[in-house]
Amino acid sequence: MRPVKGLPFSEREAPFGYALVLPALLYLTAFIAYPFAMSVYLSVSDAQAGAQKWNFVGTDNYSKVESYDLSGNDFVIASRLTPAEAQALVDTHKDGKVVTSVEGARFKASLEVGGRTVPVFASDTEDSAAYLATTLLNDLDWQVRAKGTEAEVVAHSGDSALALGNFTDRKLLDKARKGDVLIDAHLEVKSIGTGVWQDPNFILAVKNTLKYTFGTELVKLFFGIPCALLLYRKFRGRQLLRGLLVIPWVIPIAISGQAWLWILDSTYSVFNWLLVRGGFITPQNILNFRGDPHLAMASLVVVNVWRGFPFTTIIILAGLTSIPDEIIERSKLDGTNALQRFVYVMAPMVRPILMVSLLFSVVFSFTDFNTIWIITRGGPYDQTQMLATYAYQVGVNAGYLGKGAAISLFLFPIMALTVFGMLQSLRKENM
Amino acid sequence: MKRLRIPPDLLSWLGLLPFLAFALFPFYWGLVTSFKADSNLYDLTRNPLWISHLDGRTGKPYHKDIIVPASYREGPIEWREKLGDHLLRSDSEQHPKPLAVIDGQEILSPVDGKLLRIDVAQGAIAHPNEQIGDIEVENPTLSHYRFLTQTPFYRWMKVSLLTGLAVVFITLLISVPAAYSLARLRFRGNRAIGIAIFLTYLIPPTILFIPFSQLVGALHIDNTIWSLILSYPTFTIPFCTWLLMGFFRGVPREIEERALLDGATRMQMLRLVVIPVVLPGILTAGIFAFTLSFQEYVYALTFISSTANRTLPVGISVEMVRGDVYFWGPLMASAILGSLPVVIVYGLSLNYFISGMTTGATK
Repeated sequence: MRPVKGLPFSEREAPFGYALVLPALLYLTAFIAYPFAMSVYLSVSDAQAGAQKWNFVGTDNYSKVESYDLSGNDFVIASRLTPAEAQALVDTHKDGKVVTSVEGARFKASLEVGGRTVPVFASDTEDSAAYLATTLLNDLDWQVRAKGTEAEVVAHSGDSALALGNFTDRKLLDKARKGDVLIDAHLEVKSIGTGVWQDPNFILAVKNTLKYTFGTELVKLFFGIPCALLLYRKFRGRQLLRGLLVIPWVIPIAISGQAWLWILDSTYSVFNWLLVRGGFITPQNILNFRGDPHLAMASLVVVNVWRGFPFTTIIILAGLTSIPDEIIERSKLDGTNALQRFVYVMAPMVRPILMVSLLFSVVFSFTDFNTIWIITRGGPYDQTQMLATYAYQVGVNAGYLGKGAAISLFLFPIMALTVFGMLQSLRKENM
Repeated sequence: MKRLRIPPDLLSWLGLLPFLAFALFPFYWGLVTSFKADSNLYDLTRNPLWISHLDGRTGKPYHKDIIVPASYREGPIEWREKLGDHLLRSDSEQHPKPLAVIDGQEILSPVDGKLLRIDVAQGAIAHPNEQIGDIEVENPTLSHYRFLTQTPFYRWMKVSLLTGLAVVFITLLISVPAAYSLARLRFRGNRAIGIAIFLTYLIPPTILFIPFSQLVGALHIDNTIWSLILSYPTFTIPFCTWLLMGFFRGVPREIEERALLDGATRMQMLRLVVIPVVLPGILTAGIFAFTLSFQEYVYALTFISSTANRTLPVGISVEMVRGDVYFWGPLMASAILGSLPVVIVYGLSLNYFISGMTTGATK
């Protein structure tokens, strides 16, 4: 493109400018804007993987998520007992134990109670099977029920104790009914409400996502600020330490996550070894990090902090490095101590960049799929499911593209708010 | 009174030590595991943080009985290895060499180690389920690393590296001109386009993977490396463009104007004058594009379904677990080897990387 003679320098830049930016615009339109629009379109359809025809269903995917709840059911633990035997079983069930075993490609959890072994659940992961069996053993109300002259023992599930059936769709529910529950439970499916806000799994995913995101940010800053200040000082080996510190952030989490899985292993966890060694727990009640919902959530938070704090450190360090030396020197001459210098001189100058790092980090955690998928796969029994993994579960694994797209789009408003915040903070910085 | 002075170097090291320990522990743990023989790996009586040669229960070196499989016929035994010979674990070899043969039936070594004892002498009759000898287990061992050659590990590595390089190429080809244009040239909509490109970085794969899988299916490139090469620039282009704009802004305007006055066309000026100046920035952007695509997981998990075409992170996490059995030794060996490419890239370019972050984040 020849520059046109006689025009001012800046006027002639336009054609060249458009030509250079065009490939990027075309690419991003085709592969971001178009899929995004398609996502919105899918979310108002009943699209399923492999289906030929999609129908428009309006806002059903958002407002009418059918959910089923298996709470309020009785799980028959043992039948054909004498009333005395039954009562004895109920009385001693708190001493019972959960045992898992491998059966084919699945894990089976059994209860060892009152001298008998009752197989109760089978699941794809040991954690889920153990979690369900433990809930059945500890959280449900065990009762004796007379049946003619004989008696049976049932574990009665209240309205929320064993939310066994937080399944969003029939397919998963049927699979669970056929494959997961071994004992003779009188399962009754009832639809509880039609709004997405009444889908217990969705609400849990939203809660988990918020916990996971905001629970980790402060910790990352808490680790990142001292690290950045220490690395800001000049000392021998600074380059090396800086390099070592960023390693968690550069290695794919799917790879380093394997090491974490091994650290959190149910039998061979090194944490358990340390706790037993230190006398905090006995070898009989070691912690099952991925089998207990709270420990599983805590594990995810630790892994996220581990992976994220090096990034926070580097960004803050970049901010510190960009402060002109004269400003620091002058404040030294003014007789400030290190703390005062940090609070009154460095912190205000680093603030904009800190905002950028915070917002990046929030976006990273909020949309994180990898860490959760690798460490807990949303388990045990969907208790650590988050928006991204839940969307994958429903959209890809179960094949409900429309519903999956609707769930993933719920990430968008939060992203938009974050972007707005980011722009505001950048604008302030520019002024 | 003199104050006790701690050398400042030591202070920094001490202060950073707990953070470093936290950051590096999983790698240490993986590294130690990858060299442990299975009998040590699953020995709860031993300190798991270090490799032990001795069995915690017996106080003697770990050993492994050689037992004739129950399905074998009885027959005279023909030893192929002598006492003290070094044996290799059979599942880590393409053509494992039997340590003994009973009536045409091969006895393979389950571990790396040394033939310690022979219980059934050469030519004597060996029975099913009978112990015919003993192996002293080699610990530490390289057998987990050798096992990887029997898995598609190196194939996944190739897929990941190829994808990474292709993505770097496409990203730079598109991002460099776009960044220059947005950072330097004045035209209508310049600022709006810049913001729009930056914002697309904030529409992550977790929102796009469902429609993108349909798109990839429609283009008939699902289950191929092309689906990744096409999709990864969706996050590398916005990020690298944003990063490169910072570098282009730092180029003095005078050198461009001088080149134009010297009669260069705009394209020549860009190629011969501007790009050499921002080469460090381009290198940084390339590193970022490579690592971002090397780390990617959701797209690779969704679009690729055959074992052979998986990327390294997905391959390791999905295929190295057989049924429900985790092979921790080979798993850790593959994790350690799998992290090497990015660690090397970062080791070589850490300074560029950090200055790149600084420039990108502050400008």
